[in-house]
Amino acid sequence: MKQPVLLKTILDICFILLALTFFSAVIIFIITISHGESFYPITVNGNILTEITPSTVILISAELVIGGLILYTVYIMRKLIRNFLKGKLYTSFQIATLNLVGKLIITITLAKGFIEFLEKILFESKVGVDLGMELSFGSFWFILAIGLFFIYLSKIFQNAKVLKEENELTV
Amino acid sequence: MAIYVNLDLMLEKRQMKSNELAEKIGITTANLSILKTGKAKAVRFSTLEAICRELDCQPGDILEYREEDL
Repeated sequence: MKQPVLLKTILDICFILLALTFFSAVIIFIITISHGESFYPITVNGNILTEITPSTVILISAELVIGGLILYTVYIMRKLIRNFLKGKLYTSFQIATLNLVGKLIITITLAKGFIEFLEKILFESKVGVDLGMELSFGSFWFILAIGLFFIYLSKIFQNAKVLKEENELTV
Repeated sequence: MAIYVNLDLMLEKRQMKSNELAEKIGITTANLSILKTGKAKAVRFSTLEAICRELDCQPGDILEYREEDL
């Protein structure tokens, strides 16, 4: 059982780095809002912002909310792995957490797609939807599939829980 | 569940105690208790065979089907 330990370590590193990035971004955002335009220009997702407008504030806030959701997803994945390492499988906690992780991944992916769409309208004055498939695991469709996979996995765990209970009650 | 286990009745008829039967058929008293209280989801043929052998009875003497109101 070396894989879960490695997975736990990777998720721990991801969580620490994400937490540092997220809280730094929140602090920079708060300082930028409170100190006016003295901190400008700032770059958000490759777009250079030179002025504070309600739309940029809403977009950056939305990005931060998504960042918070990503951090929360990694946090509950860490809890899930720790729970796996305890040795008990197919528990109600694991089923609920797998389902929640799947739902969060789907929500984040869809929200990110929507924000990218809005950014194109606001910063590039273009209206477009990119439904293409990239040659990477970071593709929109692939991440969506991963989210659905987690939900399906929770259903498999649910079935396994019933079978395990039946097995335990077989005399 | 509509299947009822009449193991208590058979034990009384044979004047045998639960732990004694459990020991003879090689299962734990906890598992025998699960069977007696009707909590069991399934019974292995090997367990049923051992119970029938020790209590000198038929499977129908232990298991009973009663229709339940839906």
